[in-house]
Amino acid sequence: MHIRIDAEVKDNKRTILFEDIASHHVNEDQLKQLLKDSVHGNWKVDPKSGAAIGASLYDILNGSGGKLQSLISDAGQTGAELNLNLDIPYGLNSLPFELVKNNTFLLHENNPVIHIIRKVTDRNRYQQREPEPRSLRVLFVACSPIDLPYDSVLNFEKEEDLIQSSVEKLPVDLTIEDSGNLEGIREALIENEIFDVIHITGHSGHDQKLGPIFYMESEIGALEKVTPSMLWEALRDNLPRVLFLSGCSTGKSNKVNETEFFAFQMVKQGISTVLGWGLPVSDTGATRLTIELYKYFGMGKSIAESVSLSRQAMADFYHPWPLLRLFSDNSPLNALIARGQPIRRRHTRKLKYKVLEDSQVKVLADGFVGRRREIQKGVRILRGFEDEDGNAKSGLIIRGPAGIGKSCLAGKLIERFKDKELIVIHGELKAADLLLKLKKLFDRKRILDGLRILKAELEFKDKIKDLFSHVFPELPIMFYFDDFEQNLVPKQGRYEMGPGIIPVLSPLLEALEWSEGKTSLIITSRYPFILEHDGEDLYNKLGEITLMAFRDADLKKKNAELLSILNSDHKEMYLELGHGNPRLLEWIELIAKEEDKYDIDALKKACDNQNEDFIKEYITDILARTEGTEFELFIQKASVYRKPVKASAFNTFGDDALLEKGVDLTLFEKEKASGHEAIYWVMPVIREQQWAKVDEDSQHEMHQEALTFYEQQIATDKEPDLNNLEEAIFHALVSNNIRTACKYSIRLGSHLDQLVLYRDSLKMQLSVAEKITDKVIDEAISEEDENVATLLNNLGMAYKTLGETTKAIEYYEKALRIDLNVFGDQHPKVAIRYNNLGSAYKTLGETTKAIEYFEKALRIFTTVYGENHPNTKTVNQNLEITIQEAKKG
Amino acid sequence: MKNKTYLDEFIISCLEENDDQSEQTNEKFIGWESLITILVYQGFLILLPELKEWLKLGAVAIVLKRKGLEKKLIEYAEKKELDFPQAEKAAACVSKRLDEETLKNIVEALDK
Repeated sequence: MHIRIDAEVKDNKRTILFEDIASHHVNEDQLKQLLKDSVHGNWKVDPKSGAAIGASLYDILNGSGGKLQSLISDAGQTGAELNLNLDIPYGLNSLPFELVKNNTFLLHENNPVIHIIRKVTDRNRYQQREPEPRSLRVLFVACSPIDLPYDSVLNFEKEEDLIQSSVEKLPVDLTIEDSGNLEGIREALIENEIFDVIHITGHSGHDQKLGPIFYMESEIGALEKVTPSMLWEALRDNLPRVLFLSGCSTGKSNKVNETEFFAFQMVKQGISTVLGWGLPVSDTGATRLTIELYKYFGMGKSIAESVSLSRQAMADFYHPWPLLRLFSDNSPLNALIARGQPIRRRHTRKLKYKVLEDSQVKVLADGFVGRRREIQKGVRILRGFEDEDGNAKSGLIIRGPAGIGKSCLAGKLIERFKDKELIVIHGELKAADLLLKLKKLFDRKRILDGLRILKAELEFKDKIKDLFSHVFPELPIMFYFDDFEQNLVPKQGRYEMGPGIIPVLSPLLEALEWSEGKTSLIITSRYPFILEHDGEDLYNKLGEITLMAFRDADLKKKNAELLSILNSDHKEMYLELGHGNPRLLEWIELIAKEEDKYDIDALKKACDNQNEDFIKEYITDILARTEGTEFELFIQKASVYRKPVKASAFNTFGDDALLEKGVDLTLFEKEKASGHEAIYWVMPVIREQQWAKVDEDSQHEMHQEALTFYEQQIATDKEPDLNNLEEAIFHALVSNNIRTACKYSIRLGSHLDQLVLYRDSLKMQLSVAEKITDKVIDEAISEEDENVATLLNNLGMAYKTLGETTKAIEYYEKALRIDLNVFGDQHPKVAIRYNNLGSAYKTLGETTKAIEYFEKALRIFTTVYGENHPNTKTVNQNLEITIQEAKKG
Repeated sequence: MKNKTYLDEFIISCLEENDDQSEQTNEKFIGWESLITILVYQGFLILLPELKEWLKLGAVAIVLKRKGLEKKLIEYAEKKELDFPQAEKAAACVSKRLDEETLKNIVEALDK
């Protein structure tokens, strides 16, 4: 039934029309007085006042002819529901028609059931919609800007938690939007396309200039005033059938700027049905009514009936039910979903990970991440906003125990900075790695300036400074150092930088400070650390986020993904063992999924009162063990690989089925970037523990296997791969295959020299040279292996470049000894060694010795190549210069 | 409005003194700042001719006008259907700051 109150006042009277036919008149003074009483809002807290207003409103609609009463009687006799579509002029919209009361409030009537709907337009009067047989799709957005005045920051987690709990057994797919901002809503709509209901909860108000506004959040959690048109822009491509604006007075206008109120404007823009509150409403009242509403929506009841039943369920609590207002474009208010959808045991969300482009950064693509405040804090730090003390930070460190979700949080933050190129370093931070990754990036982007700086004869720190000055302002970079704890060494109960880390990290931190937020750094680490350089505390330059175990609403949301745990009789024990650690909970979920396979009593006994690390180790261990000896041995052996490798690396000791089983059990990680072969690795948090179970002989054997794998990789690499070379050297050294280590360290050294990383080159080659005993040299001689001599010679050259000539001579002599034995005393290689020795002695000023070596070299080159060969000429020149110096000296 | 800054400062001073508003009402109410802003920018603007006259009365009389100002602002809030009872509190909060200096500044700021 369409009831209209005429907007026009004639003779101090307005006409009331039923289905556009004049029924009766009401006195304008009576309306004005009622309006004044309503505006004061006493009816909200005082049921008597509400009843009085309701009775007056009834009289206004009913008139002396009893039109409304006869409609109600007719409906009561037929049992039909009565829809009162009220068309109220703007000036009277503050009147609380939801309170209309005869003997009882009409909205509490059971026979007939009466709905009061505020009509905004007639746009969809004839539209037909059939409810679909599927679950209800709800997008829930809680907005709680952290800089609201008067301690008004909402406990949105509590509200999310309550609503989530209330619908978890119903056919309701509740998607919780984690950011509370418009962009987040847009993204949720792109990912999910259609929502039946979008529920936005938070504060709303009226802005002097903007009119009605909803207080949403910016990406850093700050207040963002959202107008109806802004919200409409975000929703327009994927309109929900119902928009619930759960904020104060979204369903009521003040008439300061004569702007229509929020809910009204949203219907006018194009949303079919909008729910709003007629006055300020309490959190608890709003939440309780909302819970009822979704219960009825989920049952497949009509929109009108759901609203009505929700009001009735709240009848004993006077406060919220009359405040709820239903605005419509006259679309049919039928059910959102078909009745009789199956009840769920649990609402679950499937975990799905994705890998960020060109990295091993794994983030949750689908599933709960939570940590809204942490994400906002991270964005604030990375954008260079000042903290409470007025300091802007150069980078961000995310701390917390293993499996707590540090990488997931970092991934979420990285996703927020899509304009930045990502450079990821996992584990050990090395200048070479960093420069090579930058080189690849510059190559790909054809950043010639960047390539020029990388090739220049500059030290690492100067290269970094130059890049920050000339390249990064145009090409913003996000550096992400994951698992940074691998760079730390414990010292007196604290952690310090391991050797060689400060020279890499400090130039970056110094340069970041003046990059004005264009270049960013994220570090994830299990432990805090001391970072001092030249007496300056560099750790303070980093903003810090400490991740704790999931708690309260976050934990509840995480738990919602753990179907098997929640349906288990051992639920409490599992959740206790999980310590709120998301990764640990995911492993426990695997056990809960197939409880019969495990000895749960033993598990309980073993883990009782144990700490998180112990439980993690124990759980992963039994997961591996329960899969059988073959799998258990497989994962132990696979732990030989410190870095991700292709599946073929595991072929000699296990098949693909074992590997995939490991991935299924989340004991292995798998990354499949498009256009690349999949790579695998044992989860870093359990790798060392698994590797420690392998006996010494088998470890040796496995290192050799790994060495063979990397040798095969190196043989097929089109250009030198730093990682393959490093790993080959590592496995060669630990399996005591020193000569092979020499071979690859020569290649790696030359690679590092090209990057002007002489110290890194020296350090690496020295680590191999330390293992070159006389026995190795003898072996090289008998096997005629020139690699050992070449490495020693290169090491000598590296020392010489760095000005340590005496050390250089020591290595040149060792190299010479091998070459003399392998090639004889007339070989050009021997001549090169003599020349190098000559050059070293010349540097030391020992010209006599220098001349002696140059002459030896010259004799060999002249004999082998003749006088005109460039080598002969060079040595001759060296000799002449030295002779002249000797004469001067 | 020549001097917007003064009005903004005046609003901020009203806000600072009323930090306990939400605690008193147990409401999910964020309209307080909006209410003060509306009363200051719109309410005072409508009363501007009258406020100018008050300036001529001198310091003591201006202070005596506080209750009158509160009443007028409440009337304005009623007319514009602002949220009660917060609007009443906002009107009281704004009015009690009225003195000769404040009034002079407000009138200057609003007077084009």
